[in-house]
Amino acid sequence: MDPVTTLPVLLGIAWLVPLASFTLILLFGPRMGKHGQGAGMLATAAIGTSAVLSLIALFFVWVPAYDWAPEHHAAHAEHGAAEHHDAGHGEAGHDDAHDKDAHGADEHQAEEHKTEEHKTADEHHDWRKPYVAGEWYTLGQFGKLRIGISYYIDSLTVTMFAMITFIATMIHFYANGYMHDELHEITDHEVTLSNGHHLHRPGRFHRFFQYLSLFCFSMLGIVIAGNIAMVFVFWELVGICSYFLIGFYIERKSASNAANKAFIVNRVGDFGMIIGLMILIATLGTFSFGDIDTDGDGTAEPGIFSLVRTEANNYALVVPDGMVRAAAASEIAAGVEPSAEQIAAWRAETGPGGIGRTAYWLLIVAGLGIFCGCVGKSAQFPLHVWLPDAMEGPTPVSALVHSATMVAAGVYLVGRFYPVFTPETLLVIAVIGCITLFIAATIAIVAVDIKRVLAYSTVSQLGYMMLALGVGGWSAGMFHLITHAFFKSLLFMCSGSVIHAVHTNDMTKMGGLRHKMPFTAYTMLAGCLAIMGAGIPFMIGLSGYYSKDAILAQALSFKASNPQWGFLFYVAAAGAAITAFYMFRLWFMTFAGKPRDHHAYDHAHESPKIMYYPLIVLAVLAVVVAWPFWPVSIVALLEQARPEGFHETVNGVLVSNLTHPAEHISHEPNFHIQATWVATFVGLSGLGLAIVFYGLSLLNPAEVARQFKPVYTFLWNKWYFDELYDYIFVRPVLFVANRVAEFDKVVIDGIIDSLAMLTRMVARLDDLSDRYLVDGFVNGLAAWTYATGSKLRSAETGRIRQYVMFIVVGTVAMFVLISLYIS
Amino acid sequence: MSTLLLVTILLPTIGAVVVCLLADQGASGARQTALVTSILTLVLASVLAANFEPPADPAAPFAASAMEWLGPSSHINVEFSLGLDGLSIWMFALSALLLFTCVLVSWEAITDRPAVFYSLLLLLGSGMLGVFAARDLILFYIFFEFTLIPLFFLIGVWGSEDRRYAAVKFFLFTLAGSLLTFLGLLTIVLWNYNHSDAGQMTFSIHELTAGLNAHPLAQPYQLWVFLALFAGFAIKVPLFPLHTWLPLAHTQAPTAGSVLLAGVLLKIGTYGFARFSIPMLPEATAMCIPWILALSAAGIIYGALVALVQTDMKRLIAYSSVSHLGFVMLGLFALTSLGVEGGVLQMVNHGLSTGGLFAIVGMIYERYHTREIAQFGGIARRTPILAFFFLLFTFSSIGLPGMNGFVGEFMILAGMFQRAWTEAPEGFELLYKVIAVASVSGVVLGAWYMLYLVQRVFFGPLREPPVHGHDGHGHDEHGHAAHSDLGHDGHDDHGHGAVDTIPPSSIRDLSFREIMAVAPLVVFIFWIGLHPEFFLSRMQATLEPMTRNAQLAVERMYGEPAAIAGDADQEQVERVSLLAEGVPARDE
Repeated sequence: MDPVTTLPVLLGIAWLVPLASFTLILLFGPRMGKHGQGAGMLATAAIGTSAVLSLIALFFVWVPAYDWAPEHHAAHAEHGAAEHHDAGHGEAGHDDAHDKDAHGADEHQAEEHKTEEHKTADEHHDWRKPYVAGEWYTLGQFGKLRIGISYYIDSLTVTMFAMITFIATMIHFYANGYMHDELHEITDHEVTLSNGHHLHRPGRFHRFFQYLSLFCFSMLGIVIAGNIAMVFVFWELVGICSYFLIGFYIERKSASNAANKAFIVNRVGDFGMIIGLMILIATLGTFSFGDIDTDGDGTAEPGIFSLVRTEANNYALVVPDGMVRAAAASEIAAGVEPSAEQIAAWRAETGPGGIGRTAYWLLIVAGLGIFCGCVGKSAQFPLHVWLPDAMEGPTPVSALVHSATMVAAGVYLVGRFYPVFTPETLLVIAVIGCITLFIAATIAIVAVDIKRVLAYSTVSQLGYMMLALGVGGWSAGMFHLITHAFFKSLLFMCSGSVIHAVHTNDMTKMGGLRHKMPFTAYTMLAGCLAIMGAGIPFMIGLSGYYSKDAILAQALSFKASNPQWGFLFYVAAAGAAITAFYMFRLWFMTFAGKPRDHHAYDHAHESPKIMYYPLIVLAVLAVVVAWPFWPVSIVALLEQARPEGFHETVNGVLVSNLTHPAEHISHEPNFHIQATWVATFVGLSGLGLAIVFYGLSLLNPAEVARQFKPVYTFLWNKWYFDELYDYIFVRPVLFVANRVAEFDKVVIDGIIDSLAMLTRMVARLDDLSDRYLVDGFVNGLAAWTYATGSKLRSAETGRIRQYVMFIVVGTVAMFVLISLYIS
Repeated sequence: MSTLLLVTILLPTIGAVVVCLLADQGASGARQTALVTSILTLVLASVLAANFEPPADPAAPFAASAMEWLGPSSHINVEFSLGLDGLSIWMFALSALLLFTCVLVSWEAITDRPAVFYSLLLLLGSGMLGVFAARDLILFYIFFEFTLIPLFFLIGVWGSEDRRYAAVKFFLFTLAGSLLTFLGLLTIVLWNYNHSDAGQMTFSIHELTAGLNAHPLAQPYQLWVFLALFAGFAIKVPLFPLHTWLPLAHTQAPTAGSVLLAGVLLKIGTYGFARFSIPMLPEATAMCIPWILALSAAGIIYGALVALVQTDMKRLIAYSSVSHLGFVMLGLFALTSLGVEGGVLQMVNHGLSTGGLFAIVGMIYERYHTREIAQFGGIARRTPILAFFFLLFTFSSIGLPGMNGFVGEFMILAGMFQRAWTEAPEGFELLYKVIAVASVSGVVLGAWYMLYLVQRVFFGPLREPPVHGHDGHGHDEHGHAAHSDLGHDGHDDHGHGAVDTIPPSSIRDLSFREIMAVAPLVVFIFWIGLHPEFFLSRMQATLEPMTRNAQLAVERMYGEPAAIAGDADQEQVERVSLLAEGVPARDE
């Protein structure tokens, strides 16, 4: 099968099926079977179809087409060479009325391979990575900027598709059991009305699956998106799905608060992301990742990646022409296009105050802007505060949206946008990831809500991924993203199974549950071992063992190149120990020991099959998914998608002595072996501590907490982030808003009203003057006329003789006057 | 088509007359006539919009007609000339759509003198349609003022408690501005008369634009004329800090008044800027741009902040309008093609989303007779369909992708950033960047105040204000349960038969009529959101030449002197010829 034609179709359908399911449930949800039971099946079937299609795309299209062993790549060179085809056809729903628009756009360029011979087997970094990019549908064109629904498919896309749809399918099955209560009327014990009664409401089973389907569609949209604007669109859509799903129990104040918090905090991240996007659009004039031939002239227009990593420069980072032009805006006369030499000269001005440096800064700001969005979505410090609260949503949501997929979208985007990040930007990413992983891990030590422990663990693991990406470990970060998705969704679903059984999130009310629910207990144990990174050094391990090792090895290699940033490695290692500790604390508190709450224990029972079968599947995968000896290994797949320009060591420009060592260096024994030993040691020490405290109860955790009271309180209050933000953001904004509202009422409206009053005063004066002056004059005139008239009345006697005399005298007088006038 | 346009504009007036004649038939006669009229108007307007083709020549817009009116004498030539182009077509269509919505939302709310109400509403409809179709300055001004009078009565007679004050304030505020505008427009006409050799005083907007570009207004006058126009249009928009009449008028107006005020009448201000100020006075526009952009950004943030702390739903949405109209102005005066198109599109978007929000708030008010946010809670339970629509309009308003608001906001911001980063005039680089970045915060604050509103009113346990004529006191879920005998036993209610256990109430969810009132808006919200190209492609051909002179003026004023020295004459010729030929429609 030709991947260039089949991949967009297969993945496109896999992407759209959940949308169809959403639409159907939206329209007919309540009528689907009893209480909308059919909605669950429909949504499950839809995502199952997507999973099948994605797996076909991965194993039967991608893998046969692109041998992942780089040595063989030259053999596939003939694949390249600008194949054209019409992807718009066969795409359901895309080629109706707008076919005309789509045609011009579809002509897209096939993946390119460089045909050059490889110099040696080791230097395999001069082949271009295979990808398929094109456009399905154009939304609009503004000058040279084009916004459309396009795709960018490389092995990362395909792997993500397979991972997301597979895990989502498992979670859909599970949710059919978990959300069973919603099939009839339910009493929400979390909402206590003022009379002590609980809220009683009809079930919303179909609503849940409706949102879940929409979420799957949006999430897959982020992954398949071929341009950053489309990523942003689906970015917002997953945000809104998350808003609905967190606020699923809208009657609970805590749920609607958490939903608002999640959306608004994410919007804060989006603030940066919009700025990043806008800078890109303003300076580069394209949003597209890959090179797509949009005007149909046979040559592909360069996408962002090709602009930043030009072939001419051997894919090393270069500030794009557009940014140089923007930085030199004041030098450029209106309407004059600077020559290429001029631009190159400007770009070279990298000294302080030089144009090249300004342009470089522009690239950094754009990258940091995009990263801001990722900070929001992936709950990184300082925007991590929404994720633990998001646990208000039903547990399947936590498993799917808030651990495996949506929150990983931020990491995914960093990975996708990797070619655009300068070494300085990467350093910021590493530091943010490092801070996050430490803060979250420490909070997880003291949390007692089983889901919140997992939520903080998620934040911490996302921090790991960011750290890995930030220190140059592209494939390590992406690898951990995949493995984490498996074991964290497993852990969440297990915790959901427990909550389902004991009706509480509070671990202090659990204990000994492994006797009651063995499947849940032992699958969760597999998850805990996986996240801890358990394994026999250099032999075999669970999935986390491989990905965490890769991260630590890269951090170590980064430390070797940049001794001043060595703390990144130490914090990561310490974090690994804490991870092992809090995960086993969770497991022991829940499943081991004696039941703490006998009421809860007595009611506990293993979950139905539809819930624990997915657990078993995921547990097996959490163990085996990362094994390097499969015919298709994840690492090899990811290696294929490695961004251009990151096969070699890169150096910073603004920060001196900043070096990002190439990732293959970390595979060398001196780093790899050391990192493996460190990882094993810290993992075992964390596990040992957990056993000492909670497994064997040799030490009393409460006693320790008392001894370290201030630390404990600090952690218990989650480093006071919520309070801090309340004081430094929420309250000031509300304060200012109130003052502004007063200003509006008093000053602005006051000015208008006093103007009106002034006018009225003038009018009153006017009225007075009118009455006494103008009217007085007129009235006076009238009165005078009247008075004169009255006086003249006396002349009116009625005697003819008198009248004749008046006439005669008058006539004579007139004659006299006339004669005088004439003379 | 030209007859059709004339009929569309006159139809509501005819309907108004019929409504008056049928006044003794009672409320149902009046509203049915009004409904039929508005539906007919909508149908005709849809036919016009469907057949609309972007005019290649500004002198001959779509469905153009011109009748002699005053004159032509030797001196004066005022024509009754109508026509639609890319700038006006969507606002024209939106006016017809919202007129229909307004008749439906007033259906039961208006019981006092319905015949007068509906005839005024229809007259207002004629005015709105006319203002966007007028091609003659005098005709435009007449329609412009014509929209004022019916709305004055609608607010003053059928408004809420403070209606008289609000109506007078609204009327005087707007009138004061528009008189100055008229003065400015007359100056333009006279200048053109004195400097053209036609020997006839023309009032045709197109001819004036062409004339003013051939012999631009001398500099000090041009600025003064710009400011005169600014006075009227900026008040109408309303641009911060000239906005205080708006929240008051909105709060006090009947629902239909609020919908039309927000949906259409505010846009006459932005329309005026795009139609007169920018193309006719390019140099003055270029001079004032930094100020206007700063005021727009200030308005975006100011309106959003004030909205955040409002306690009255209508006031909140009114302030959100100040914020959103700030975006429109930002886009228009960014003067990049993205920004201008986004701004014009956002005029329509705001009409759809805010019009919808006002309509829904009106429906809530009709049910509970209060708009105090604090009195509500969880009414999604009582009125799920109403909540659904409100949420939908909220998402449209905060710019969720797939809906109209996103496209508009995105284009405006992109246009503004383009201006700030690549084409900022010298000396203003920093200011422009600050404005661009600051205005993005409107996106965050917008989500905050709208979602906060939704949460307080629609989520949580049910809490309703007292319903008049029902039981005289408010009840909420617990309040009711406390003194009811519905049979709650407190802990486990599984199996109790009632499907819905909220207390009974006279409050009903949206009726079919109410759904029909807002459903068309939803259709367009998604249409614009998913396929903006349909709307944008029809406006591009008009907007490009309309803003080109101002863009050139910006470049001339702030650009490198070397770039324009020498070929200024050349450029002048080029400008005129561009305007005369128009720009051919973009081939798709």
